[in-house]
Amino acid sequence: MTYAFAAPLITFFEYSFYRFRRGRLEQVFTLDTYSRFLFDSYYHVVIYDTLRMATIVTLLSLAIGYPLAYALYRINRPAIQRWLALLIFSPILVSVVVRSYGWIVLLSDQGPVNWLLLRFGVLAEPATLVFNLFGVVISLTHVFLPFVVFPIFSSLTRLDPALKEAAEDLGANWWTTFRRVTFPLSLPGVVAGAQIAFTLALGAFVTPAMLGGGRVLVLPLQVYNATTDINWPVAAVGGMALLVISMVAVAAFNRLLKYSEAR
Amino acid sequence: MKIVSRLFTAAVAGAALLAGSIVASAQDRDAKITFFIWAGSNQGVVPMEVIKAYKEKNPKVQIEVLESNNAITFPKMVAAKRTTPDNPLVNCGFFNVDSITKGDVEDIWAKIDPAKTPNMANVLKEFVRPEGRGVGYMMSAIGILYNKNAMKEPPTSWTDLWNPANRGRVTMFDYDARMVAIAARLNGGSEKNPDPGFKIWSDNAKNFRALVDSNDAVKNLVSSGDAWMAPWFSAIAKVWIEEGAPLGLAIPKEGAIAFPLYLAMVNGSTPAQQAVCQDLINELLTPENSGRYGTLTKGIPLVTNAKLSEEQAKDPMLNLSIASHSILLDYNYIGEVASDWRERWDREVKFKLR
Amino acid sequence: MELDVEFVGVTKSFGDFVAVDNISFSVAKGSFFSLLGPSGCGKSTTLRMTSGFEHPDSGQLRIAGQEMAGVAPYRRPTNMVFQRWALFPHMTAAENVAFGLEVERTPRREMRERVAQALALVGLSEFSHRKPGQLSGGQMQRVALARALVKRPKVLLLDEPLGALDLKLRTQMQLELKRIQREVGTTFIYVTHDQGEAMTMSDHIAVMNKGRIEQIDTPQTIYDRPATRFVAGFIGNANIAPLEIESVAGREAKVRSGGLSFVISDVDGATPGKGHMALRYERIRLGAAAAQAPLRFKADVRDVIFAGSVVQYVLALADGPLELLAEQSHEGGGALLSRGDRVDVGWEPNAPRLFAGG
Repeated sequence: MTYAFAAPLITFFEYSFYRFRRGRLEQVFTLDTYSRFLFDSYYHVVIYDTLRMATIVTLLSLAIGYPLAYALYRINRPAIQRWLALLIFSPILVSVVVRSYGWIVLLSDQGPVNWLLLRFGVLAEPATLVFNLFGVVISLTHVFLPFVVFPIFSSLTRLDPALKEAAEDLGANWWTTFRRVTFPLSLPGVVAGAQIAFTLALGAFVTPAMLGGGRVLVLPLQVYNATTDINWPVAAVGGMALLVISMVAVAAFNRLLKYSEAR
Repeated sequence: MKIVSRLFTAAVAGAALLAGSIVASAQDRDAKITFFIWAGSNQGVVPMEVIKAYKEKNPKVQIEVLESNNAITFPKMVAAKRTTPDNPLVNCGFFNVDSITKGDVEDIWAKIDPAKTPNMANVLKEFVRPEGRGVGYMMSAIGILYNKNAMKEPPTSWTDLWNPANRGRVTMFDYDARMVAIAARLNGGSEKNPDPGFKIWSDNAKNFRALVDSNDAVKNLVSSGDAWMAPWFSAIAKVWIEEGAPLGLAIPKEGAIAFPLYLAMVNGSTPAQQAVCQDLINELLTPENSGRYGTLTKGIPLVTNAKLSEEQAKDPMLNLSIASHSILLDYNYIGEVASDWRERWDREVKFKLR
Repeated sequence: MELDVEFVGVTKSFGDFVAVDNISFSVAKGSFFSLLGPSGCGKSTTLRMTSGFEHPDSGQLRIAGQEMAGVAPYRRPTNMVFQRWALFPHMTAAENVAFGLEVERTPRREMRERVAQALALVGLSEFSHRKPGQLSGGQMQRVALARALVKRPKVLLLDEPLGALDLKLRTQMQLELKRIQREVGTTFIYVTHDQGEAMTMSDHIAVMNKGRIEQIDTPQTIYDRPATRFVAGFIGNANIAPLEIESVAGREAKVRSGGLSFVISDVDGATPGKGHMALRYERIRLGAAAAQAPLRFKADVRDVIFAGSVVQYVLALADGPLELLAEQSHEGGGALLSRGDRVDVGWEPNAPRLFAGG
C-alpha cells in the first residue's frame, strides 16, 4: 500500500529535477525547472490565483453553509429535515462533468439566470456569469456545501441544549445567544468544514477547466497542460508545489482546529 | 471514450508468445493488436467494418479497439514508450498531424513497408511521411466556424479573429498552436518567428469569450451564440451543420489551414503485429474505404483514387481542390516548440484574459 | 405578607399526559420554598413554568404581583440554576458570571464589582479565571449559583442542583445554600426528590405527587402532621398499616387491626370504614419505656438491624397481624434485644396519624 502511494511520488520527485527543451525530455539532474518555477512571476500569479480561488470558495461555502447547517439543526420535523439534507447532499450524486455542463447552461448569456435579470430590468445586457472566476466559484461552492454543512451540523447537535436555556434565562435574546454561545461552540465544526473545502478547492481541476474559460489559471490546470505537452519536469514541479501547499494548508487548519476546540 | 482493459499484461503475454515466431502467410495471421480510432462524428464506422471483416477472414487475430482522442492518448503512448518500449499502448491507428510530428521526437513511428502496403502508392506524395513513418489518409480544412444568426455576413479573413471589433466573440481550444502560427504569418512573421503572432493575440486577448478543452464546448458556445466565431475543422463542422446547428463554415481569403490525418504504425510492435497492422492500413487505403470514410466524416481523402460520392465531387469543401490551395504549416517545427509556445501563450495571452 | 410567586389553578399537559393538575400555591417574599416529590410528580414542570420555559395551559401565574402569561424567560425577574449547571464551557468562571450582566449592558466598573462580589459570596474568588473543564462538580455548582445571583433576581429557581454531587459535598452545599439565601434575602424555589434535603433547608415545603400538591407546610408540620398517606410515607420513616375505623367521636377514633383494638387521638376528619395509620419508627417505645405508655402491647422481635447511631427492630404484635419497625437511638454500649425476645411495646394515642380510605 505504501509502495503504491510512495512509488509514484518518488518518480514524480525524480522528474522534477529534469528539464524539457524543444520538445525533448533531458534526463539530466538540474534545478533549472525549479528555479524557473520559483522565480518566475508568472507562476507566482498562478499560485496566487489558486490560493485566491480556494479562499473565495471556502468563504462563500461557509457563508451559505452555516445558515443551512443551522436550519437543519433547528428543524423539528424529521421529514423536512431529511429532504433538506438530501437537497444539500445532491450535488455529490452527480458527476462533475454533468454538473459543470448544468452550470454552463444555467449561467450562459442565453441561460435562465440572465433571462431573469434582463426580464426584471436588473441589467441591460447579459452578465458574464460563466467561463470566468465567478462561474468556477459558484460551481465549486455548490459541490462543497455538503462537506461544509455536515461538520457544522454535527458540532451543533453536540451542543448541550441547556446552554441555550441558560443564556435565555440570563437575559440573552436569540441573536446574543447565537453570537456568544452557539457560534463560538460550533467553531470546531466550522474549521473542519473550511479545511475540507479549502484543500478540495486547491486540487479542483475539472471545474476550472470546464467553467474557467481559460481565465482561471490554477495550479492543477498548469500541471495538466504540462502533462499533455509531455513536459513532465514542469508537471512534476507543479505537482510538488501543489503537494507542499496542500500540506501547509492542512497543518495550518489543524492548528486552527486545536485553538477553536480549546476555547 | 472506451477504455480497453488488460492493456499491458495482455500485450506482454501476446508479445512473449509470439516472440521469435515467423511471420505467417496472409491467410494465417496470428497476433493480438490494439488499434486506435477517434471517437464520435462517424469516425469509427469504416474502421470498425474493416476490422470486423478482417477478423472474420483471420480468425486467429485479436484486435482490441481503443476509441479516444489524440490529446489524451498520445501522452499515454509516450509514457508507455518510455517505460515499456516493447509493449506499446497501441500498435497502429489514426493520428492527427500534432501527434505525428511530436511522435518523431520520441521515435514512436515504425516504418510502413510499401511492399506489404501497396495501396500506399495512391496517397498524395506530399502526405507520405519520410521512410513511411505514417501515411496521409484524410485532410480536414480549418476555416472559421460562425453562428449564422449572429453574423449575417460570414467572416472573410483570419484577421477577423483578432480584430478589436470582435471583443468577446471568439472561442477555441486552449491552446491552438495553429492560430499562433497563422497570426504570425499574417503579421510579418512565421513559425520560426512567432513574436508578431503572440503580440497580436496578446493585444486582443479580450476577443476570447472562453478558451475551452472539448469539441462539445466549442459546439455549444458557437451554436448558442455566446461566441460568434471559432477556428474549426471542416469535417466536424459539416457534421454539426447537418445535425441542424445554426452554423456555417467560412474559408478565409488567405486560405484554409490544412490539417492532415495519418495512418501510422508504432515502434515496438512484433513482426506478427506489424503484419496485421499493415494489412489493416492497406485495407483502409482502398478506393472504396477511403472514399466512404471521407463521405461519412466529411473529410477530404488524400488517396488520389478514392471513390468520391457525387456530393463530394461537387462540394469544393470536400475534395482535393481545397487540399491544394490550403496553407500547410510547418507542423514539425511547431511540434518541437509546442511546449515553449504554450508557456508563452499562458503568459502573454491568457494572462490578459483574467 | 408580600408574595413573590403565586400559582392559581395552573394545569399543564404534554399530549395526553397531565404533568401538573390544577395546582395553587404562593411563596412568600424572602423565603426558601421547596417543591418535593418523586420523579414525574410535576415539580420540574412547575419550576420551568415559573422561569418561562414552559407555559401553563390554564390558570394564572404571577411573579411579584405581575401576570406572567406570554412573557419570555429573558424578561422575567427570575433566574435559574440548572441541574447539570449549564456553564458555558468556552468561558472562564468570571466570564460565565458576567454573562448576564453583559447582556444587560452593565457598565464595566459595576460589572467587575458585582462579579467579584458574587464569586466571593460563593467562596470561589481564587477560581475566577478557570474554565468549567478545570473545576470540580461542587465548584461548578457554585459558579452556576453566582451566575444566577449576580443578576439580583426577585426569585431564584434551583432545579435539583445538588443531585450530581456526592453525599458529603451535598450536605455541605445544603448548608451553604441556606446561608447564602439568608444573607442575600432572595426568594428561593428549590426542586428536589430528597426529603432530607428539603427539610434541612426550607422554610416551607410543597409535597407533590402525580401533578397535585399533597401538602404545603413548614418542615416540622409536614413531618409531625402529614396530611395524606402519601406524605406520611414519603417523609421520614413510618409504618403504614391498614386498619378498620370502627367509630369516630370528635377528634378520637376507635380502630381495630386483627385482634388489636386501640384509640388514636388528635384525628383530623376521619369516618368509619377502611383506613390507614402512619406510625413513625421512633415513636414506638420498647421495654421499660413502654411500661409508661398509655397504649401497651406485647410483641416478638423478628429482626434486629444495627445501623450505628440507631438500632431498628422488626416487631410482630402478639394479638394481631401488625408488623412494625421501631427505631431507637443507640446510647453507647447499651444492650440490644435479640431475635425471638418477647417485649413490651407502646405509644401515645396521638403518635399515629390516621387517614381514611382504602
